[in-house]
Amino acid sequence: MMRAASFLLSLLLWLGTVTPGWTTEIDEIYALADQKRFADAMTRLDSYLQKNPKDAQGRFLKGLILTEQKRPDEAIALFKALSVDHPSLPEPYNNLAVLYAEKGMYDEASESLKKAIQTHPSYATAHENLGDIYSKMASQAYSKALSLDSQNRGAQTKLDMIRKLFALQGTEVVATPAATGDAKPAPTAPAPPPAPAAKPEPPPQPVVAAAAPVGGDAKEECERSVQQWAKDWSDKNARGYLDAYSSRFKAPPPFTNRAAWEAHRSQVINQTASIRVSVSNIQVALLNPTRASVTFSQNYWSPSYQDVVNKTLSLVLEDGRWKILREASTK
Amino acid sequence: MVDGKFSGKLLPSEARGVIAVRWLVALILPLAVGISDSLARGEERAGGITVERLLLQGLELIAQGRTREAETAVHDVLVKQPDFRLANVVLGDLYLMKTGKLTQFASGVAGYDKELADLLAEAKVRLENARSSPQDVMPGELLRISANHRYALVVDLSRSRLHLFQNKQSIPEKVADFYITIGKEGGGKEQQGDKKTPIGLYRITGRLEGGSLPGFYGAGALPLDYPNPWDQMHHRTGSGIWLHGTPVETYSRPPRASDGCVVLTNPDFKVLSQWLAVDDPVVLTQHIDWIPADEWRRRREQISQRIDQWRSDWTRLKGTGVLRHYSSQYQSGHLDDTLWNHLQDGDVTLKDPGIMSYPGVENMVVVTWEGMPQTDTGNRGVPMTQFWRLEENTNWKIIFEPNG
Repeated sequence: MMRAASFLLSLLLWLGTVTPGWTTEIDEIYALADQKRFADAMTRLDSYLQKNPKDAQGRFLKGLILTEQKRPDEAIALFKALSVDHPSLPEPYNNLAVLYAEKGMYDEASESLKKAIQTHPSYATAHENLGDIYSKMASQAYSKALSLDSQNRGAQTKLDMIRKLFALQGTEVVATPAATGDAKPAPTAPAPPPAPAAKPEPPPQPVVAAAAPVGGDAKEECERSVQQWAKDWSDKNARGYLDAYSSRFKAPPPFTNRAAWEAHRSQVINQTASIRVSVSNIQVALLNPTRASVTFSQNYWSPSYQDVVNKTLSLVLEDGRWKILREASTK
Repeated sequence: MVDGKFSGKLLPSEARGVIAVRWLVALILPLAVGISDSLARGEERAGGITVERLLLQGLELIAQGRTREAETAVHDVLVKQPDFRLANVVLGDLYLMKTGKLTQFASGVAGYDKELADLLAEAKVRLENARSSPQDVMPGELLRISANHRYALVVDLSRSRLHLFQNKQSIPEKVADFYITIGKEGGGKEQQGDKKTPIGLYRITGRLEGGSLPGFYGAGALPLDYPNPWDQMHHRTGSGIWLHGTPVETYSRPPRASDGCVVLTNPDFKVLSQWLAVDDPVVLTQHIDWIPADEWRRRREQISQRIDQWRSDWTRLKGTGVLRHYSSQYQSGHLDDTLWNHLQDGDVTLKDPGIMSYPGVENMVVVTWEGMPQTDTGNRGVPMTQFWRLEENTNWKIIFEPNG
């Protein structure tokens, strides 16, 4: 809260320079205020103002006493009205500014001080106050910039902090938020982001330099692989036959897993007395250096069953060998 | 107390004006003068003034010595965005300037060196972006956008900037750009914990609402597919690279402050996430390869012709002919056979390729075909990705197929 001294200083300046007239009544009320007998002063002042409602000195003094009585809103209203009635007086603007500043209303305070300076460009108090207001505004802005007013610090503590800053006036250095000894906040403390939603995708296992075989060779290799597969089948070499299939070959229905399918194929091959598989009209299409599609006519003969189907094998190059990824046939 | 002791008389504030704001002059004069044009262009694009543009206008006004107007501009910024830290420092400096005590950036603050250096760095990248935003150029990274994507992002790590492009009949058209925060250690992620932001071509893999995440992520998150197959082939590690927002009461974070994520302000994130969809491409690059439009068209034509030859050879399945398109260094990722089964069965066709230059790798483009079902099953196409590389300066060849 503002101290009387400044008002008295303002008042004296004003009375001494602006208003030569001087009444004993006001003088006595002033003396009461000086003795901090504010209630008595106010009683007399009110009756004085009833008789002289437009008296600027009386109203100004009332504003001062209201301020001392911690009635800032009434004081603001009074100084505001006074500044409207006497726009050429700097002091009401100045005191209005001090009251605004006390409430943290720095924009209003600075506007009011600018008006005081407009009326009296050399009015030192207003200049000094304005500089002070700007320093406060700067501090406030810096505090925001550095998040000093974040969550756990309310507006009140912030004001206290700023008050403390200005207790250091005169050092020519605007005290800093850090000087208040407040714990320095950690404005950014990024926690490591949590892992993204489960991504079961296995890492690809690049076939290191599939050594893209020259086209012709690849085609021949595919054809040889298919012939070997048919031969192993005919030879009832179940192990060789199953080895022609890629590790990524999916067992066809009704088999639910690879092992069951392999067991079934082995059993059929082993239990069949004699098998003859021949392939003809082989056509190889290379899809890329590691994939091929082979179509052919497949002639199957066993004592109990014979058929001819058109078959397509999808082949994939795995560890240098073309293996079966998918098997499909049409009659 | 306002009625405390005062020392010395103050000059009217305007008299000290420009002299006192040495930091602003030193930082901004070379940068801020002449940004008006690019700022105006930006406004047209974004359909309104952003707080960043308003702040930059304020800085330009300071550079011109028009500090009163600057104060108004910065004030307006803070009305719209009270937690914009950089704007608060500038306002603090403008106020302190009037007291004659401003000697350098944030001279009313002692300590906080790191924080102030960060804010200065933020001011710098924001200004540099406004000053040198190129005109009549195309991003060399985005050569063709597939119709599946309405938008694509290109992030310039060196400039802390994210550029949003709209897909206009497969041609990228710049919509807006945004200030971003990247990893503390910059770009080029190699391993988990290196605090770097990856460089490469990525996709948005999901959408996480802000309410479902810790407050640190602000308005929400769009995770990316780092490490992608190319990264995995190069044994890059780490995960959880996201685009996300900022914590409460933090409008923006410093240019380099994350653990590798790309961080946007919450207002920007909200705008972006409205437009973006899962699977949309995100290019993370050290410097955007801005090239003149005719050069861009030439590159697009060249690579488009080459991949069309491949498709033609491939579709006919005429045996060995297709192999001429493959590099002797070819590698296959063998990730998935489903697409190939469809392709061999002939029930999908390849069309509408996305074509993007891979950042950080010279002369490599990634082509993403949409394997579209020939009959309309209502299913979305299966993507098929190919890495093409220019060999011996003459021949584009396929060197890697993740799903090969």
